[in-house]
Parts: sequence; structure tokens; C-alpha cells
Amino acid sequence: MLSLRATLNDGTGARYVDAQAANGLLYTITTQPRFRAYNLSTLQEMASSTTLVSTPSGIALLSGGASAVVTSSGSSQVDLVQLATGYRTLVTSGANTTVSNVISQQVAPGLGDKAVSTRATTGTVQRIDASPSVMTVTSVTVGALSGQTARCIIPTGDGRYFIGTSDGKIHTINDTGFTYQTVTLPNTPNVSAPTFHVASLSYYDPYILATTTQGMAYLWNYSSSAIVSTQMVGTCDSSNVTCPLSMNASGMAIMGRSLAPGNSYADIVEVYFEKGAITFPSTFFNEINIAFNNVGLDPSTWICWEQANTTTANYQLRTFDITPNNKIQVETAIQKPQGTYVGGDIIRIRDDGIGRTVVESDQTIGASATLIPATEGHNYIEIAITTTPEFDVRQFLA
Amino acid sequence: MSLTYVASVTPSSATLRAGCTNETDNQLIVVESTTPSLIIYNMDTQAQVARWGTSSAPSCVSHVAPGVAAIGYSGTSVIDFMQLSTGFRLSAAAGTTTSTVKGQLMAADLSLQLGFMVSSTSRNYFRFDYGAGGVVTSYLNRAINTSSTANCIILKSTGRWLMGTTAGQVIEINAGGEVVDIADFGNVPNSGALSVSTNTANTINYLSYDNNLLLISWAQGALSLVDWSTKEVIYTQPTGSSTNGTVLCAASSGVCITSRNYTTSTTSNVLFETDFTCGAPISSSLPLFTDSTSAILDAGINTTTARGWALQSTPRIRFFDVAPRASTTQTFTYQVAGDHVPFRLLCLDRTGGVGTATRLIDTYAQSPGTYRVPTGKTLIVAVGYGEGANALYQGSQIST
Repeated sequence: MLSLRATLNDGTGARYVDAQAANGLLYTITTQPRFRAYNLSTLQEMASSTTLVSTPSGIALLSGGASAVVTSSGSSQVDLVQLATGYRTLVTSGANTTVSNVISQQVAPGLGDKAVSTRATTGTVQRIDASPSVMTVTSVTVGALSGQTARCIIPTGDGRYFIGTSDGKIHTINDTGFTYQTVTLPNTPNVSAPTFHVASLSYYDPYILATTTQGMAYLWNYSSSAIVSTQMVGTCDSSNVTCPLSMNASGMAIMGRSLAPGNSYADIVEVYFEKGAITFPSTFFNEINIAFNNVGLDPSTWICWEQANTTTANYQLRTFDITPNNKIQVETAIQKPQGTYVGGDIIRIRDDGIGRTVVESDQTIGASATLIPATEGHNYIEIAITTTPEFDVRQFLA
Repeated sequence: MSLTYVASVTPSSATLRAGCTNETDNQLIVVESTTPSLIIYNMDTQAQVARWGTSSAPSCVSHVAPGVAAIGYSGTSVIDFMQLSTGFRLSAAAGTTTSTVKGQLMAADLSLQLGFMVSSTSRNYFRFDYGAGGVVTSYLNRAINTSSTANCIILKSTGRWLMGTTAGQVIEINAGGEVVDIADFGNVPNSGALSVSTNTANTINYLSYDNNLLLISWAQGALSLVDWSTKEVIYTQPTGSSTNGTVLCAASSGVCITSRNYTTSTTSNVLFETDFTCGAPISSSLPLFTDSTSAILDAGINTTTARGWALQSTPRIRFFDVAPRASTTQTFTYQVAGDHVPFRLLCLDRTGGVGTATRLIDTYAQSPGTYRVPTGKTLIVAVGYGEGANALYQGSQIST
């Protein structure tokens, strides 16, 4: 479940552009422009910069844990910010602007204090190398991106990156521009084939969840290169993305869904896609219809946040608690008669409420107590089937 | 699953208002307000079969009897019965329907040769009976909230209709126009909102129904799935639509057509095939991308041929095919001390054996409850009564 914790505004009338969390802190950049760090639980400000690159567009926390890079969509410059103090240095040589400062996921961290960002020039992305002490910024040509721009970028966790493009593709690349795999999101059936952008991405092996400027969500199985699930979500467009995705945590992520102008609310939803289907276990409805430019999730505290594309104080940045998605092992067994173990099948269904169930496991167990994964804090309906077949059903809280 | 595009037709000198399917003759009947006229298309060839003038600018049309369509108006207080082969009109005094351009303003039961039209007057609707010689009766129904109007109507089953109102009510009426069931979902699209004070009226624009499951399209840009037997709101999801919300049509083998009208002028609108019966809770196909940003006004399926249609205001008429579902119905029960009770129903498809279970139905049903299920499948069913530690569940397996 999602429940509201707090609303944050920086007091200057600036808009929060991007935010990342680590170590219990929320590191933000604003249009003022400033870098500001907050305690994620209390929202007490812990650090800030005295200034920052103009029109900041994205922040990526570097793997060393001490610093972050900040990109810009209005200035050919990249800043390096010390997280503890807000002290910043900058590089302009080799730097270029990113494609937007209202679209999330403009820059993604890699390994070894590296990062890769979008780049306004077609066919290229931007490699940022802050290791060991001197930051360098380099344009990287991606052959598969010819004539197009990367609209969003996320890390795979092993030094590669997924980029969503302006022609509806997702490429897996490294920071030299080598392309490992490409998927084209479907534009069929059609009367006339549309062009749409990939708006946001979230990755949980082997699935990549992608939203598009058509307001669609597609779940791509990276291993089989198949689109396995489709959902219509909020309204999106190419300049003011309103269906951003957070990073995943054990197969779930946060999605912002705005509606059409004149509608009365915009919600953020918990998206669960671990098992290859897009489901929405919980929803939080805001009281107004706002456009989101970023959502995020910190799996260490299970606090998530939404950032609205507005300078209105009450809606700038909101934090939420969410039911943890930690995987645990829960024992099960089939006895017939009571006290005598027998083998059979176990179907374990996560039950987040009527209409929100999902089959998490379906397997055969032997004639003994067996540990099967479940998600901590969630309700389950478990069906045991013996070979006869006979059925037994139980409910439990993991 | 996805829609298979067939063809588009551009009617000449036409402002499309609404359409209906003549299933018997595999024809699409549309009304338009420029000429104004009723136009008939062959759904196989997409050729225009006939075009007949109407008494004024029509708003809605329904196939009420073999070879006969009923036509309603927003500016003229009559309902016309038109002979489709000749264009001959029989007019009966009635009232007007809404001037909003949308579908589902009238619905008829071909077997009874009568139907209903929603009215522009609050709490009001009209019954038109072709079988009785073209009689129109006006109803003032105080079950409809004060100052709100019936805004859409569909045929639920023989002799039963479902109406959606501008106050978020769904009302089931019988052939006599009497209320037989009612539910108020007025706050559903905003449930859980921090504040409801800024919300606008919760208007139901379209409905689709199949075997206890009711799909509601809200003007606010959301779809809700409801179990009509218990009035349980199973699921609500935004659709992001603007003009007229998301258009729905009558279900065919458990699926209906849904539309999406985008807000940006550069994005062409799309159509989906949406399964709300065996695709728990709502499963939409890959979109059929049109080439037009004009609003999608109305849609339908010929349940016999699985040929579908949609109207865009450009004007364009889109023809496409829906993938027919091999399905049947299954009745599920739960009794306590011999009494039928409301119960939790979970139905899984496990045709492929161990490791393949997927969810088909997840609802809160009233026993006995009949639902659509796919044929040729092995289903695992869990039915439960009560909550938490006191819940009593039973499992079973059925083959369809």
C-alpha cells in the first residue's frame, strides 16, 4: 500500500527536477538551480550547493558513493557535486545538453564512477567519467541511434545501459556506444504507423517495463525479446512526460499517471511486473491533476516519492511509504491425513485485494515441508493440490 | 490478441453522430447531422448500401426490429422508426436526448422490438416500442439523483437494460421501464483522493456488460470494472482520455472495443480490444493506431461475424476484426448452511500444467454467479467466504 508521508518544497518557488536516494538521504536538483540533500525520513535539509549548472536536467549518484554528476538541458556543462557538502566542480569541455529537463532518467550511473546521459545531438549519448579525480565528458556515437535521440536512460547494473529512443526503441548499450540488443516497441496494428518516444524505463531481470509518449506501458522480456504484457496508462507527450517510472525493487516500481487536462486527479501506482504481467497492487490518488516529471523509490527505506512538474508548493515533491517488497521464504507442506506429508502442487497467489492478485509461484513439492518464496508483508492465498486431485486452500500473511 | 485493421470509409458531407450494428444483415447503420441522414454500410465490403434523409439532425440510432431502426434527436422531440430498405419514417412524439455527440444514447432489444433512449431532461428517459405500433412513453425516474440525467444505456440481456447517469449511478431497468437494480458509484474514480472538494461531477459515459461483469467508462478519464452481482468495484484504471472519455461498446464473447482520445494535437487516437471477463481484471490488446486525431465517438462489434467498427468525427469509419473468443459460461456457488452467500472467486487457467497458472477471474461474486470462461481449458478455482483468519476457502478443478 502507498500512504502519504510528507510534502516538500524548497521555499524558493523552484521546481524539483530530479532526485535520487541513497544512504537514507534524498539528493535533489532544482530549477533555482541548486543541489539539495534531505533526510528521506524527516525531509530535513542536510546539504545544499551555492549554485549549480543552469537548467539542470538529471542527477546520477556515482558508484564511489561520495559524489554525483548533474547534467543540464540548457547549458553544455556537467557538474560534479560532493554529496556531503554540496561543493561542486564543473566541466564544459566535451559536454553537451541533454534532451529535456522535464523527462526523468536523463543520466544513469555506471560502474567505476562513470555515468551516461542523453544528448541533444542525434545519434549520440554522453559518457561522463569522474574517476579517479578529474571528470571528463565525451560524446559517444551509438550506431543504432542514428538520426534519433536517447530520451531516457537507466543502468542495467553490470556496466551497461538501456536507452529509450525517440523512435520507440530500446537499445542495450555500453559506454563506448556498442549496442548489444534492440527491441522496437510495436506500432502495429495501424491505419498509419505512428512515431512515439520511449518515455521511461524500469528493469528487473529479465523484464524491462517501458512507458511511451502514447501513454502505453509495455513489458519486454529481455531474454526472449518478446512483449509479454501491455497496459494503457496515463497521458504522455513528447515534451512533458507524465508517466515516469522509478527503478525497480524485486520486480516492482512506482509509476506516475497523469490524466487529461480537466480531469480531477493524477495518481501514482505501485507497478508489479516480476512475473511477466503488469499489475497495479496499490494506488495513491492526488487531489489534483498534475504532470509528473519524476518518481522514485528507495528500497532500503521503502520510501518513494513523486515530483510534479509545478512550482506550486503543495505539490512539488511528496514522499510516501510503501509496503516493502522484500522476498522471504515461507514454508509450506501438504499433509494427508494430518501429520503425514505427501507430495503435490502448490499455487501461491499474492493477494493485494480483489482484482489485484497475481500468481507468484506454481510448483510441485515433495512429501516434506518446503520453503517457497513470498513477498514480505503481503497476503497470500495458497492452493494445495494432491494427485487425486484433492484441494486445500489457506490464507497467510508473509 | 489485437484488432486486425480492415478498411476506412469517409462518408461525404457528413458529421457523424452515432452508429449501431444490424447483426442480421451484417450492416453498420450510422446517423449524421450535416445532410442530415441515416447511412447504411455493408460491413463485409464497406460499401454504402443506402442513405436516407431524417427529419432533422439525428443524435442516435438503434436497430429495433428486423429492417427497422429507431432514431433519436437532440433538437426535435420525436423518435423516428425508419424502414431501412425504403427510408420510410414513422414518427412518434417523444422528447430530446442530449446534444453531446456520443454513442449509447439509445439501445433496443431486437427480440422484443422495443428500447430506451436517454433524455436531455434530468431523471428522464423514453421507452420506444416498435412492436406495439411505434409507441413512445416518457419516464420520470426519481431513482436517478436530483438534477442528474441518464447519460448512456446498453442492452444487458433480453428485457433488461443498464443506464449510466451523470451522477455515477448505474440503474438496471426492465422492459416496462421499471428499476430492478441500482448502484451508486459516484465517487469511484476519485476514491482515495486526498480531497474530493475539487472534483467535478462523476459522469458515466459508456458501459459494457457480460455475465455479471460491468465495465464503466468515466468522463474523468478512467475505466472501472464492477461485479454487478455484488456491486464490488474490482478495479479502476486511468485511460487518460479527454473528449467523451473512453468509448465502449457492447461486449462480444467477453471483449469490447475501447478507445483512447489523446489530448495532444499530434497524436492519433487509438482503439483497443479489451477483455474484461477472462483477462482479470482488465486486459487491453496492443492498440490499433489510427491516422487521425479526431475524436472517436462510437464503436461496435457484430457479435456474429466479429467485425467491428468505430466512428471518428473527421468523419471516418474504421472497420476491423476482433479475435473471437472460444468461451462458455460457468456457474460458481458458495453456500453457508444451505444459503447462497457473496463469496470471493478466483479462477486460474492451468491448462499447461504445473508452472503455468495465470489469473482469469478475480472478483467478489454473489452465489450462484455465472461468469464467462474460455473453452478447452483446465481451470483451478478457489472460492472463499469470510475475511482473514475466519475465511473458509474451497478449491476445485474444472475442464471447459
